[in-house]
Amino acid sequence: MVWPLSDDTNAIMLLYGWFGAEQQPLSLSEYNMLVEWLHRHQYRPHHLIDGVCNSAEVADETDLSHDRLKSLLDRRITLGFYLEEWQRRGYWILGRGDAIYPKRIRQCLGSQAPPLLFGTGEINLLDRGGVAVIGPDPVGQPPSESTRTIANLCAQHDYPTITAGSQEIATVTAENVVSAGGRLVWVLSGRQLSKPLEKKIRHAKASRKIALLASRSPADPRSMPQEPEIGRLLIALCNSAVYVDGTEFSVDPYDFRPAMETYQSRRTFFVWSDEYATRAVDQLLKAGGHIWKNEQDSIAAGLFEVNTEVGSEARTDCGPELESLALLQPVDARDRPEDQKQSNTALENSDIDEQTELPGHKDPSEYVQGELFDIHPEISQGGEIWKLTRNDPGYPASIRASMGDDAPRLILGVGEKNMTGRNRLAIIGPDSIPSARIKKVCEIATKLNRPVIVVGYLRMAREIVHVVHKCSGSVIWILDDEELKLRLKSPYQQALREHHLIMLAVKKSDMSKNSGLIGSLAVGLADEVLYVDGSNFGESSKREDRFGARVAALGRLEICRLLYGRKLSPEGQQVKERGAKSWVDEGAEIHNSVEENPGKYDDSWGQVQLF
Amino acid sequence: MPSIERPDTLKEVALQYLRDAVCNADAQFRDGQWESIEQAVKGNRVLVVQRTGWGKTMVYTISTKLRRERGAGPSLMISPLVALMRNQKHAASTLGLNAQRMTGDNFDEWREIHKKLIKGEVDLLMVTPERLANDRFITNTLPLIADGLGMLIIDEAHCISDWGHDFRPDYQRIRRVQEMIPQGAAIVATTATANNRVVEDVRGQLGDGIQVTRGSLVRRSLQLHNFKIPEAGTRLAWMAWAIADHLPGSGIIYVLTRRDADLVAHWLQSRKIKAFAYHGDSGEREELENRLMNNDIKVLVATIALGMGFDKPDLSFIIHYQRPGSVVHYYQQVGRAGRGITDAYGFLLWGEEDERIADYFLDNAFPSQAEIDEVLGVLEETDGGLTLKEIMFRVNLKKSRIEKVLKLASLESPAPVIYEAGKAGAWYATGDVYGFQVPAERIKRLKEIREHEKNQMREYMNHDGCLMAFLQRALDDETAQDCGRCRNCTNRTEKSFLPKPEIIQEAEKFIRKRPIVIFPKRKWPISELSDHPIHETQQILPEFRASVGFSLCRAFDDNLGDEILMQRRRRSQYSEAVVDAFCEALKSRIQQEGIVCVTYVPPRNRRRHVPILASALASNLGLQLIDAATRVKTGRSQGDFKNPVQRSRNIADVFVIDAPCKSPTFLIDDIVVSGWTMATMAALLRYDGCPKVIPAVLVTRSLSE
Repeated sequence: MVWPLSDDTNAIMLLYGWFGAEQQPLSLSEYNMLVEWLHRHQYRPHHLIDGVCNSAEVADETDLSHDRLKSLLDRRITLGFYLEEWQRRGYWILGRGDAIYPKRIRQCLGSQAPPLLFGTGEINLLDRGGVAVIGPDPVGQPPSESTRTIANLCAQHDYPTITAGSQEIATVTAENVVSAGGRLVWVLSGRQLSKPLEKKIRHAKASRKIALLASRSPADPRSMPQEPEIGRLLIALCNSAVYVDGTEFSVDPYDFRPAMETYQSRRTFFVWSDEYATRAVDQLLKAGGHIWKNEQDSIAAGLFEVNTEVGSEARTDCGPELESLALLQPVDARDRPEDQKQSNTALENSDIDEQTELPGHKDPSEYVQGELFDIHPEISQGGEIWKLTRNDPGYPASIRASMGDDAPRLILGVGEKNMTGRNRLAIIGPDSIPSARIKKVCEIATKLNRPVIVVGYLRMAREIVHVVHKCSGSVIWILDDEELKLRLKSPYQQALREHHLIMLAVKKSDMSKNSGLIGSLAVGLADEVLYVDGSNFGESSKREDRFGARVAALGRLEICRLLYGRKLSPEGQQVKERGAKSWVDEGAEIHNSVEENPGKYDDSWGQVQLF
Repeated sequence: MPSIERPDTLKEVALQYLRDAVCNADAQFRDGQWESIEQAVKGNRVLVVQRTGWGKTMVYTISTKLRRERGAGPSLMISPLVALMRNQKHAASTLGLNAQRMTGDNFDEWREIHKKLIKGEVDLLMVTPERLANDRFITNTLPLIADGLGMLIIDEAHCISDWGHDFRPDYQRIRRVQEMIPQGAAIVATTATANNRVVEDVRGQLGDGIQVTRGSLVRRSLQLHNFKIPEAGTRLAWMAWAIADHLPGSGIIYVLTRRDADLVAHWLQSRKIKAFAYHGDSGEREELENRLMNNDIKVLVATIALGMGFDKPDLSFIIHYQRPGSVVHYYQQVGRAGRGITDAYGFLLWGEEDERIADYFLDNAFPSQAEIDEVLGVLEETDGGLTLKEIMFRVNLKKSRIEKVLKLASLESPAPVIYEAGKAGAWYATGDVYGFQVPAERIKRLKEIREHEKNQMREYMNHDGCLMAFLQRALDDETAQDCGRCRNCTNRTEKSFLPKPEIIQEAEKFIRKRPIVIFPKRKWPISELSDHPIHETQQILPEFRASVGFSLCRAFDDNLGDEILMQRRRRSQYSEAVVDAFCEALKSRIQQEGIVCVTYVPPRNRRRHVPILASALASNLGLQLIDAATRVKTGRSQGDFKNPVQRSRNIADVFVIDAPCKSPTFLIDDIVVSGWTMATMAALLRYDGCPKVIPAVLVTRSLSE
């Protein structure tokens, strides 16, 4: 029974569920941070609403503020109204702590598994695997013919078909599956879930042959196209996938392709393409996909192969209590490293592949299209800005490796694009760092020829840029796209001209989804992260702790150092407790850290070895 | 959850708020009042069962005030009583709370209220259960409250129980909502009328640890009286006599139907009593309430639209023109009087039509399985959704029956149908429940409850013991004892003296002679009913409309109506007496309206009643008879169709005008039910050049009759 919701799912709804636009619930990473805290103290989410633990305790030890958590948890009555409405509409809601939460999603996505799933229809279809039929919009050939073939095949073999989104390929696939009497899992955005169903789909629902699934709530106001989790969910749900090729101008709104690349070692992929294959298809084939020739070949190649990676055998060794705790865990030793390893391997391979110019293809920059990759005219005024998309060979592999799917889709830059450098040092910390300490750090870094990475436009950042430039050192300054206008100011123009400065930026629209994006970027790019402690006063505690948490979340604590004065501030203490190596004699430590790692780093961006 | 101060301090603050609100520096909490407030402020659940006027409002307004001061979100109050909300708004303002109501009659204020909600300026938001059940509340209003709702107040909480006397479908959703709310949220449920069974049911639904406050229901200022007066005329005469000569102050007369509200109000006005009708169709209801509050009106003649929440402490009398559906309803309604004065009166009159009306409401309360199958069937077979009118086009059921089916089905969970508000607003099948069954058990139980209530009401009317104690016992009030004030306790019958016979005669004449107006239709139920230009727009253009018409009498209302219906069934033509009465009624209009011709609605079959009637009228009144129209399709009887869409469609292309009337004319028919035949004929005549068409019929009959 899905209704009533479990106490844990109620709590997750309060913390993570969207009820309209006025209040922003926790992001996935924030939620995972909270789960980590709950684990540490052997609590479960519902203890936060039962009063067994409270948000003040959480706030004391994490980056999450007490006020925000309290305010989210105070939405109980509002939650009651939404739940009633959703139950009346026939939806079910699964929390990551529910035993019925699909194992394959949890296992495949680890901490990226959505804490909540919303859906309607036959819930048991979610763990049955199936063939995914996907493609960008528009697809390259009339999709009805190819999808009908697959729909019929799946129906004949009593094998679920899985599709996603609302573009033509999905609707045609759904229609064909339903007409063929097959079973269908359709991954949608939350808002699409609330749309009334057509007659055929209703009938399929009544016959328990369809499940509609969304990882966002039907009341989630965020725009639909920015839902990479749809692509990830779909790949997690399927055993094999058929990618129907698009055109050079197609858009992949649900990030199917990156998800396929990530999980290609665990899924069988087919590509349906005409003779003029797009670059996307080439990449998928290189990553191990099969070209769809005919039905029999595809069956032989594993179209209906049951993926044994997920299933009932998972975690049968642990008792029910332990198992449900495991369900709550973000990424643990059992899930993530394997995923990460595979994904890293894939990325490394793909990086190497991408270094080679693909024959017959256009310049990568020509693939940059759509609003997502536009630069606001006001920002681009004055020229000089270059762009890197995640598909570009020049895109820093270190960022992709450390940030995974959260890596910004587009990086804008000013200054040297192929800057060489080694032992990059990211300096992070609150705005209350004493100037003398900043100056000292910068002077030492410059002396050792270490490029310095700095983020944002606060006093500390500007001071670092100023000092490093004055010492003729190099600095990489990470900003948001609007702040790129700073390049037109004379001191920075001079630094750019003298190749002492590179400005990088991500779009503000990306930052709205991930407020710590530029910080993560800095950590991703760095070979060493130096947390410079601030004073014991001021209101900067939240910002400081976020940096610490981010380094921890990116798994880069081993490169994190802590620099502080006579006393360690409470925030610095938190960073220290996270495992950052503390050190007082800063000059020696920076020097030593460089000496300890000779030759570890390569000189070019695309080939940096990480982890 | 707000942090709680030391109870004593909090209590002192709360007491000061109470004193401010009631403008009395010595006021104290009533038993249970402070305890309820304290629990609500702590974020617990509270059920308050206390008589009207006890101070339930203070419990949730003071709780809201204290919670808001501690950073909680605004409170949401669900109440079926719009009239109460207006009073609540005022009461809340005395505590400095910003209370806003969102109801069907203040759409124009919603945008402003939304802005205030976004800014966090609203402390108490009041909505009706119907508004809450409307999806737009969830999609448009609720998301604006950034901090989430701080407290839920369920007024008339007995409605969330199936055992309650007051079945309101929309309360089913509220019941489920409160079941879904995790522990730790403040919920205050209040009712004045719940027996033990309902209290236990509500307590069970609100969950463990709920605090229940329950007190005596006796109202000591009230003198209750019962009179059996079967004839409507005598009751009218009695009321005119009593109100004009014997009842001080102002009061309310409760009636069961809108028609009776108008009838009684007009009668009292004719007796120089400042009386006004108050029902769903009355405009400016708020103004009427205000005028009564200010004693600018002697009496409001109201249906239950003037609900239980109307709070006028010095209301001195309540008269029931007909008996209400249950003892509990009666207790609630009569409890409006005498809250703030020492002497008040409650008169229960009952007549011969009461039983019929009660049965009608009982029989029509729930849709049948066949009706459910029919309505859901068309939705299930439709690819998209259907508007209500589109359903009416496909299903031959009365609009109210279709609405009942949709309401019942859409409140199920999961629901077989949902309403999607949009530009057109349409109903959709969900595919969740196929073959939805009428909740037979629940309906059976509700019908049994209502049957029991009806019998209990009958018992009350014949009761010879203390009337107040009877009411208290009916509500499981263990403190019930003889009041010493009611008619039976005091054996005082002086107020039951009947008025003079001439007043009774006047009242009877008033009922008979009351003009029965047929208002012209302004809009076709759907567009493009036929290819004829009169159907080109959905609006009936003014140049195609009929004028205001009239009817000689109303079916079942008096002897003449019954006689005409009998003649229609049994004779080949109407009697001379009927024709003469009709001529008498038409005569004055001829001069007034400049009528020159008479024409008629061609009959569907070989019955010649109407042509003969028209011919006799023309001959007696000296008007020209024109056989203007021919029926080109027999069609089916309008009586076969149950809703306006089907009726107007059935008649849309049936007539052809072959002899246009070029002068003002009477359009004659013997009976009018929905009026679409008249509207269609009038539009055709006017399209063909008739300057004025005045519908005139012998008898009107409503669809329910």
